[in-house]
Amino acid sequence: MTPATDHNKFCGNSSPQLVAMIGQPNVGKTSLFNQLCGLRARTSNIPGTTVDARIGRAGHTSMIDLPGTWAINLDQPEATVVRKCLAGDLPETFRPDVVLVVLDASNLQRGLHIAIEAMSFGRPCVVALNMVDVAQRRGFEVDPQRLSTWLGCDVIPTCGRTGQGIRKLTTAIGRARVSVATLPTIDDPAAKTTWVDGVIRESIPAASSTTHDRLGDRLDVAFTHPILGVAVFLAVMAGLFWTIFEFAGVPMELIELIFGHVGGWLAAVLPEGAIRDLLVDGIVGGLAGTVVFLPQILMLFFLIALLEDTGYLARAAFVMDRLLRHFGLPGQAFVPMLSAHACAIPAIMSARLIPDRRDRLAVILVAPFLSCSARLPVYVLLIGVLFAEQPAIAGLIFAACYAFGIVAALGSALLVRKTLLRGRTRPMMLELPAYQWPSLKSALLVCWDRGWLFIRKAGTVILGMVIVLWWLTAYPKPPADMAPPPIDTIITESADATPMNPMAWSFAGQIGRGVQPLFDPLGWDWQVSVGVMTSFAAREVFVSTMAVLVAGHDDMDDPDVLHRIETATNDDGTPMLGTASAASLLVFFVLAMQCLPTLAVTAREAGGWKWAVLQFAWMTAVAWLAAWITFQSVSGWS
Amino acid sequence: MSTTLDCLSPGVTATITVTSGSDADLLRAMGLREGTDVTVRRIGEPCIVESGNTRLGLARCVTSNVHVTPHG
Repeated sequence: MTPATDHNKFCGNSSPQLVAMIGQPNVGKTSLFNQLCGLRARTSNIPGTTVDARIGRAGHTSMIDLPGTWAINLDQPEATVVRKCLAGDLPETFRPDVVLVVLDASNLQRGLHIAIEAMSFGRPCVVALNMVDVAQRRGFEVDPQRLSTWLGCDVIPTCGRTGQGIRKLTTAIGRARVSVATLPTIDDPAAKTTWVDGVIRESIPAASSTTHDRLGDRLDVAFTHPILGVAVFLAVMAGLFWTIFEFAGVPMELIELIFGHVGGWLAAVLPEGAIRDLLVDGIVGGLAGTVVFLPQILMLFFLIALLEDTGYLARAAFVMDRLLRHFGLPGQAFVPMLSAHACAIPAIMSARLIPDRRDRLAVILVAPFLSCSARLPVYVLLIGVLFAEQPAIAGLIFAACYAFGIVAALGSALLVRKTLLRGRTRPMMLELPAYQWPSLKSALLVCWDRGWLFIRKAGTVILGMVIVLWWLTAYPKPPADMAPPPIDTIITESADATPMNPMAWSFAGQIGRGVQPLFDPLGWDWQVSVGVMTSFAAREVFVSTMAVLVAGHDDMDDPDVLHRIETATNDDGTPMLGTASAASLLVFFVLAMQCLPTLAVTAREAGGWKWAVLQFAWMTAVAWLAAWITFQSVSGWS
Repeated sequence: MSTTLDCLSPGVTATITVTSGSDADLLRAMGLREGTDVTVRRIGEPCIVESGNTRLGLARCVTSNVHVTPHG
């Protein structure tokens, strides 16, 4: 669309202030919205609800893409939001002047029922007869003029994927009017069905004959097969994660390099002091640690959007429903749960795919149990300590850590669905849409939307939290003329290298020593407790903290550092990371919620900090208990 | 002969006579209305049925509430 037409999108008598788009799932509503608004859109929460909607600008008009619903009168959150919006029960900014009803041209029978419902609210309406390309391929030829006569409003054939009909649609929206047709009352299902049947007979020429999608049939035989379907699903997911890890690595390194240069430049130009420390270590360091995940997030959402567009994702949900249903989770939960193995943040954000709120909350709460990539350095360190000379067993334990996380996540999901989120699990009622080529433009727009959402979060809440945590680990500084605290003198391996360890003086260090009695039953020394406390910003910080505490620096390229951590001793001369304490620490890191940014995203996506607090409390309690059992068992056994 | 949708074999087409249960309204909105024809594509839990151009994956607790009359 050219800029000239862009400014005059709605060229009727007057531009409406707000156009609300409604439609059933899989009718191409979002593609149409993207054609109308492009990048000028954002995802916002609808006030007073837990439902999000895309809000954008098309010329001088605001557009709102309401959640897809099968009918407006259903007792479901999505339908309630649509009903409130059309009735004018939402705040002023959500009261539409025009309702754009999006129908699937190849499935008119079903769509006309929701069109009647929408028109019963008495607002000016326009109908977009979308996906006309699919309808033509299937042999449907709908007469829009006849349909327009029946409905009493403009009916415009469109194709959201290609942009066909967008210009006519914007013109029709500009001159939208309240339907003047005699429509059946929505309270009389029989009359509605009779009316719809009549409209179908009149609007679809008798010569129009449908063709069966034989390729779709064949693909469904494979993709929904109990065994072959799971194999295809695993192959697709393996390909998805291979792509993410293969291609996200370079931009991630680039981000680290850029932030490293910025930090280095600031350190060079600013005078030494608190301001420099705040900027370099707090803000730049904190942002780098969060923004580094952006490439993974963008790639994950891009690939998921492509898969969803092809129609495969619905088949994958169908296949996985058989397994996940036993744990109170729907088939759609597999995407967030798999994504969580890369990073819990995009995983929790991708839980938006799940339509039912209780299901979605359950997935958000348990996703961080699954072993993310930030846990890897800790696993490597601790498994290295436990099984240094036994690579085969080390490999098995590595796999067991992942399995343990999965078991904890599924077990917790079952528990939360039977207690806090009790209620009827929405049974599988899933449309398997027709297969089609994905739209690159739509996938890129989804990618942009999710990426921007993450950047906003990283630049506000997460940054604030990371700065606070940095301050706790950096202050107070040890006095220059004062002897090191007595506790430091017991770092036997590194006493000569680190006569004064700043970390031990910091608030985090003090907290670590303060909470030591809590961690004592797990067999941890105060140094380990400090490492656990500081790793709350991000799990991988544990290894560098231990390196600083034990070896005096965190240069992990120094081969001596890992050796020093592995051989460091406690106050009483026993190994700091003995078999039992290292095992309990490993179990703790598999299960504990040691990630501040994830908690912030949980609060945002779940709709309140109470869910983040619950997630933290539950995961920490489970991790502590499992670590204690491990310590007691291994101590007794060895 | 009337039966329920979950009792049909793959490939069998039937006409829906009654849709009951707590999900009846949703099922109708998805296209499984009384009087429409439905064909079973895959049996099991969940199963796949087709009605017109709509293909749906449905749990057994849903299909057991859809009463149908098989063709032929």
